[in-house]
Amino acid sequence: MIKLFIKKELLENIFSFKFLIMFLLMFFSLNTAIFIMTKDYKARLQNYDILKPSKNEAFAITYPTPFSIFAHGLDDNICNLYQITFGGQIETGSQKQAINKIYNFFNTPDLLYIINIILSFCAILFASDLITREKEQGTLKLIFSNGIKRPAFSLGKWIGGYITLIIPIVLSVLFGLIFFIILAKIPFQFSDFIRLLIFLFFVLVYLAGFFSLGLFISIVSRSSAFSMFFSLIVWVSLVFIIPRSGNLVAKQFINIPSVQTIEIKRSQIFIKAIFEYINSHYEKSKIPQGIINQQNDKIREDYLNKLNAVESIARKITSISPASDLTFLCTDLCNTGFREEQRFKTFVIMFKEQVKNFDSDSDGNLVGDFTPFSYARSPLSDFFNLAMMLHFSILIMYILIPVILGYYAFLKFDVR
Amino acid sequence: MFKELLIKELADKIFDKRFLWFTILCMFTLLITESVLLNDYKTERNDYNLRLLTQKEFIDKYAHENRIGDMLDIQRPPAKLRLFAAGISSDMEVNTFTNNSFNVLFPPIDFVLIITVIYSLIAILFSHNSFSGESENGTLRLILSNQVSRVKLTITKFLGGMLSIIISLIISLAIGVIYILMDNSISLDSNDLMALGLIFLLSVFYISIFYLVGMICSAFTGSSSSSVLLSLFIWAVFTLTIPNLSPWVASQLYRVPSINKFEKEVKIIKGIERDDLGRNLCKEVYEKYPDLLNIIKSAKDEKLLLAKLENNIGLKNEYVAFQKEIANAWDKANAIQSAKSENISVDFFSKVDRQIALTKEISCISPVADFSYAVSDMAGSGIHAEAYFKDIKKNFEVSLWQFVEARVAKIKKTDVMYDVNKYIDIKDRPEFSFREENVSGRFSATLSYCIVLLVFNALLYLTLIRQFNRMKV
Repeated sequence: MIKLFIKKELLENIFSFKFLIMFLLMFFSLNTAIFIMTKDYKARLQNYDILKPSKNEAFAITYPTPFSIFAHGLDDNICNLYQITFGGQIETGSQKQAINKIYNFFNTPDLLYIINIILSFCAILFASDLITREKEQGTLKLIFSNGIKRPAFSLGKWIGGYITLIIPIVLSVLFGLIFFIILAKIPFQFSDFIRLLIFLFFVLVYLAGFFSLGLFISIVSRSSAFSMFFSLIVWVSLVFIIPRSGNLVAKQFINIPSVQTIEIKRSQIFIKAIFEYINSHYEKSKIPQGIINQQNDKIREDYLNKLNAVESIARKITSISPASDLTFLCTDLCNTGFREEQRFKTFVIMFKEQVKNFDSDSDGNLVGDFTPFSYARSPLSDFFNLAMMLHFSILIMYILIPVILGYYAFLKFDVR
Repeated sequence: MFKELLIKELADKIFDKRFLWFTILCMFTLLITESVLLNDYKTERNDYNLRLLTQKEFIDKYAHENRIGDMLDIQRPPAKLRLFAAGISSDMEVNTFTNNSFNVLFPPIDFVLIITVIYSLIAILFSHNSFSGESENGTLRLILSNQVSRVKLTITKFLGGMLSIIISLIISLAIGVIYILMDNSISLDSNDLMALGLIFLLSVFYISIFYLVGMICSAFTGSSSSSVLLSLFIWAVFTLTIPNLSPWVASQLYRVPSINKFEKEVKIIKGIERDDLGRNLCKEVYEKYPDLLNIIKSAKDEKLLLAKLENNIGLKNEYVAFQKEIANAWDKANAIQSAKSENISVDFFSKVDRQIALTKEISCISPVADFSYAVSDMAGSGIHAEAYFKDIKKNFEVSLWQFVEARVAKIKKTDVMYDVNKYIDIKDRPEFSFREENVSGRFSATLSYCIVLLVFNALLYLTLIRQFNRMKV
């Protein structure tokens, strides 16, 4: 009987106007995102080839990962150019957002964004009238007058509806992968395909959560109009309001100075040390490299401690939303998340420690013999940790809770 | 009849339970957003005051010509109406190793987001069955049989529905503004309130676009279920897809070299290349003063050299001339290399400007982009507001440098041994003060976006009439 319901649901949905609209939206969005981000990745790779440090250059830069096509995350920060200058100062290069300010108004349209926002929108919209529509058309009464059990019907509805939802996603992603990534000769290795499979698995779990939520709302709503309305309110809250409030709310708990203040202090340490050194007529006891390095380290550590505390609270708040959990999971999996950024910056600091005592020319460029900076992204094994399990568990909860509540609500559902 | 239809439409919407729910949601979201953003603004303002104080104390103690430029970095106060439109983050101006990456992954919520996402969605959900719903119920036939023209019906439906959304918007916005005004630490003057009024007006223009989209889809499909799907599809494309793609598409269509590459080139030109050139020019000067050079080298420290110069007027004059030529040599090296880097900068930034113009042109297809640019400029946190601050800052810097140069020239007259690393007292320097642009200036900057939003409205309304005239009842 379940098979029959799945088949009915599939056929009914696939030939519907709703399916056509969603297929177009998903296909257009996903493939445009893959195409644009593939082009961007190639441009950034060329940029890296130009900028990568040669011997005796105190620059720290790393290559962009091809996974930034799927989840761009913080890859612009990670692939920025960092220069170690006099006294172990770390000078940071500008980003494209600083010159073309329009980037600041919008999100990066990578695959993760499309999935996070547009596909979740499609998933919840798709499920929001699955039960109410049948009720309004009167087919629900007919079905249950034939002695059909409610659990079999609801399970068939869930599976059939969900399969219909993921068909266009899988087709669109496969199309995008073949046309834009394989034909563009993006250097993917076998292990990368495993990473990609895990990525797709998370996406399917995430969308199952929104689909279950939509179905639950459809069960507890009286009409399709109300069901759609509440589904969209839930979607807006989970996808926009909670993730975007997290950082602001976290900053209410911890007083953190702005980056401008930190940069002023950093600049003042350097100016003061040099000024005192020159005006002491170059006394060896006042050689400023050590002072600059020590004081900068202290400022950076203090600031990073506060920043980490803010990020930790913000992470807890935003984790309520499945959209944030998916962002954390996918960016960490693609090596473009917070974890990778912190790891990269630790490597930059280690490099700084290696070269901090070198002399510099009048512009602060270090002079001496040192090994150029090199960095390899985290292996896949590093991804599996407690934080990842926590985010994944929340995604699973978003499937289980609506499914269980929906199941019990459906048992008591009035089909009239 | 017009009045009756209008009241009917308004009453239908206001007494719909969804109206209550969404008004509560928007009110609640806006109130929380404003309270959080208000605290954030206060923190930013305190931080700004602290920066000014730190800078002042430092300059008073360590000012010297060589690095005065780094010390006198002019700070921008946070814009008050940033509470409504976060716009461009002030962090973007600073290149730092220790940045808050959370904002990159999750940009902060503000009034602009509430309007562009929540209210536009609500507009679609309220309008998607304007005609199809009435047609399905059979009431459309009844209305049109009463000698009501189709144009009049579209006007009443549009005005009635929009009025209900405007009422909800006014309630939410008023509560947000009252909350801000109740906090004594911030005062909104008439300029700010006028800007807020214009932001409200822009919001109405923006929401009405999506209300009209819903109505057109309703008249086009004739079925409520198809109409809502079609309008939500259009909403998703114009709100979520096109604006976010625009900067990336523009960067593919018109490539600009990487900013990192440009900065590295400029650094080499102004650094290593400048030093090489400066040293070569100085060598020529050294060759002209071989005896003086020997005396300078033989003097163990500055005091001994000073004593020698004081005892020999001829030598002192020669030393002054020598120093002047060395300074000229470095000035020449700086001028040549600055001109070289200026050429590269002009070329680079002209390309950037062309890319930005292209991005704007592409993104303006979406009303979200027009609305975001307009509101952020009106709130003083957008691209225009930043350019305005930079202009004021530039003018001030000119006068500040004139002051510093005059002070240095005065010191040089009395101190023969002056060099660029010696302390200079500039405690009486001019103070920078910044007032945000008046509302008329902001309005003229946003006028083009307002016109685009109005054109969208006009075109959609004409399409609606055309579509509704074709609709079978």
